Amino acid sequence: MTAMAAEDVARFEGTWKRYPSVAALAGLDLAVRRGEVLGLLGPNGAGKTTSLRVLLGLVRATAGRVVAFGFDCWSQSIEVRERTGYLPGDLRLWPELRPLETADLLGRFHADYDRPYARSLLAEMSVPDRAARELSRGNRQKVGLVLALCHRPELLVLDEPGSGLDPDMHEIILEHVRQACHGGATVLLSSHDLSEVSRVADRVAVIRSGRIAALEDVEALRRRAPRRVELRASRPLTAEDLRLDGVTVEHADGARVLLTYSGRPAELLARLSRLPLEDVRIGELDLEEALRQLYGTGGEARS
Amino acid sequence: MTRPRTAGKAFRLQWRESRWSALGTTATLTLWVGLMVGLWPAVRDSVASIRQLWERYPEALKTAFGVSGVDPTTYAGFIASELLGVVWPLFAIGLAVGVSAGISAGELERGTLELLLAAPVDRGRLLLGRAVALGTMLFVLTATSWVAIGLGAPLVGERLDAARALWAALEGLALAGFSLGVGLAFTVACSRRSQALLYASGVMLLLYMVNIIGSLWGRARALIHLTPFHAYAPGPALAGDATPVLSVVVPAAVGVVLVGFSWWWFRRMDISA
Repeated sequence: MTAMAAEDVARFEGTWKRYPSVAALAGLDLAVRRGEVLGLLGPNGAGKTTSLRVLLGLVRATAGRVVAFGFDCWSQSIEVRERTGYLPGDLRLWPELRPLETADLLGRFHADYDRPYARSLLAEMSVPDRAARELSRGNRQKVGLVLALCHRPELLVLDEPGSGLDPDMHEIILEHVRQACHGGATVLLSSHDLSEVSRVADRVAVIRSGRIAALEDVEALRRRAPRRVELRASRPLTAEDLRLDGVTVEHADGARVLLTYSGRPAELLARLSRLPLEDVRIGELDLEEALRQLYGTGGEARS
Repeated sequence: MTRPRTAGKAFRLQWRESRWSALGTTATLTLWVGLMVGLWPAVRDSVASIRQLWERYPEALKTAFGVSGVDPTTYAGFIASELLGVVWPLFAIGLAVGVSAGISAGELERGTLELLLAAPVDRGRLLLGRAVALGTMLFVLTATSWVAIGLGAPLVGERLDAARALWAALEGLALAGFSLGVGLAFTVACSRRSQALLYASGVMLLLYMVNIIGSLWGRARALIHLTPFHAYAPGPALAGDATPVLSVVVPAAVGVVLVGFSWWWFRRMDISA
């Protein structure tokens, strides 16, 4: 076993993965803390999937090292996978197997496979007892989620779990992520959808070109994120009326003003309370904008 | 925490996946054996004309098909020339290459290898467990066809030397093991089953052609030692008096080396869907 900080479940240290034509990971440094939900965000091709595969010992890092539960993720990957549940991004099942048969096939490689739990999860998610080839994409994804959960893993690794699925399916996945967390599991959730991640994650890591471009608490991201605010006053508002750090006037039309605000809500409300307002509409946090400021656009590496 | 045995589960997984292929091949070959055994009395009644025909074949051609020095007018010689020379290896190689080509490349192509290897399985044991399952199927194929040959003999008023039959069976099993090794080497090196199947079949066909050409053309004679088909000579094994130890050991050893290579490669390869 390799020494690592007690609060870390997994750690990437200067991890590289080079393919003949591209570097998928280019010195990735990241620690996953015990009990947290860490969202791994980034555009397609940024290196999210490769980093998860390296963590599970499916792909060997070219340089650097990856450690989970104190075990090297390549040479001791069986120990890592024993404690990990994985939902691949492009889930494929054995077409002729029914859900519980698939759970039996894979679950029984785990010492802690809990067949009744697998059965109850399938029932809870209302997965039909049919061969995988006859299941809808959403139901196959539910089976994949059961496969990841059925041995009660300490670390749950989900690669773009909601991609291409309807909102109900998103909610089911996120609910099970929350339940796993309450049960003491750590979750590493890869996605390119911030709204999905921000609903459950404690922290988000933005990966770009195979390395971490930003690492932020979701709460901090929320504080940083701008809100859209629409004002209607009894008289035309002046620039002086709206002078406050974090305010950007997007559109002013006499007594109607559209602005964005990044900062403490109390300060904005205090300022607005001094104005002759007839109506105020405060919109949702624009986390996407906050994230865009963090990692910009694009990404050269593959995922 | 006691970890379940990967090799045993891999064995059962492979058995479950390939049982119908193995059963179909074994049943068809056994029927073929029955047909050949059933034909024997008619052949026995035409010994003179068959011997005449046989003597007209070039010796090199007989060597190429592993039936040199065989008398096809005896039961053992007839079985060796009509069944074991071409048909039996075709079935055995077909099963060995066809199934082994799907072991890694088939799972990779279907996209299930990532899911399988994300479980706490030892990759090497997973591959070996599946290879042993296929080896067992080949053993069953061999045993079943030889039981049919052996049981058929008294039914048509003949008898077989059990020791000679065992050597001939072992030669066949060694050739099948070699084919399994070739199929396994290509399945770990390829990302699609069809690709692995094409390459493995191509290599087996090439080796077969080398043996034929080397046997017929004196200048290329040295090349036949590179092929397992040269070692595979069921005629002399069944109807001769030599003990073909090397004909069994060499192809089997090469098969084991190829399985070892596959094991090494499979343990270190990157799994990307």
